[in-house]
Amino acid sequence: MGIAKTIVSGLLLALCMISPALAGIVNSKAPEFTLQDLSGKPVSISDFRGRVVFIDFWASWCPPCKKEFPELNSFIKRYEPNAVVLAVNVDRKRSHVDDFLSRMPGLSGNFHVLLDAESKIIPAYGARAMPTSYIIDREGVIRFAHYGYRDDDAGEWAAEIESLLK
Amino acid sequence: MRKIVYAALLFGALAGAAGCVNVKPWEREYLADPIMQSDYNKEEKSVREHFLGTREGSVGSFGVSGGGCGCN
Repeated sequence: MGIAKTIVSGLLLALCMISPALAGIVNSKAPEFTLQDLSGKPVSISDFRGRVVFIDFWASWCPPCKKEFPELNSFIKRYEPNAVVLAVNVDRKRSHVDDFLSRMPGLSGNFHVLLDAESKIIPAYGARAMPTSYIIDREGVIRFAHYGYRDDDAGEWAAEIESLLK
Repeated sequence: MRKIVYAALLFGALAGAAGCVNVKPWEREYLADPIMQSDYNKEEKSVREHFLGTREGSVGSFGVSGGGCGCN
């Protein structure tokens, strides 16, 4: 009986430790960060307070990211200037990013590529897949999360962004 | 007091038993490299399959399912 109590206590303790990780990041404040864009200019997420922010974590080596990137680039145009995309890249080498972008159409005015080569920001956002994206409301609170990419995601993105622009 | 210590030790053992390596999705850059695939070289793959087929009489069941970058 003593051993059973010990085992149960240990399991409950383990559950208490991992529960916050399972709770997710939706409806919490988006972690602040500052990263450089492609021209080396520092860009902070707080620069876009008052607008809906679509933050997308991607990499050049990720096949679903290759499908998602041009879709997202053309999708976000219709919401300029009320919404922006911050496409945070986690490639270790800048040359991979440049090579990837050279095969993509030109970036929309409200589509910003930011570089996080050391993956300092993505752990704070708790990405569970590549790509992972979050839609943040005008007050800086994460409202929606997307793990991975499917061909019909644009419909969901539109509904979610429009609900936040009302 | 002793039970609390045992419970803490049990928790530590469970946490350690979860696995030595936990590769995060954004850390899979090297795993996603095409050269990490077992059948990356098509010519080598063709020769190997022919060899196995003629030497061991085995046919089919080659290749690896899943794998890749673990992106989704």
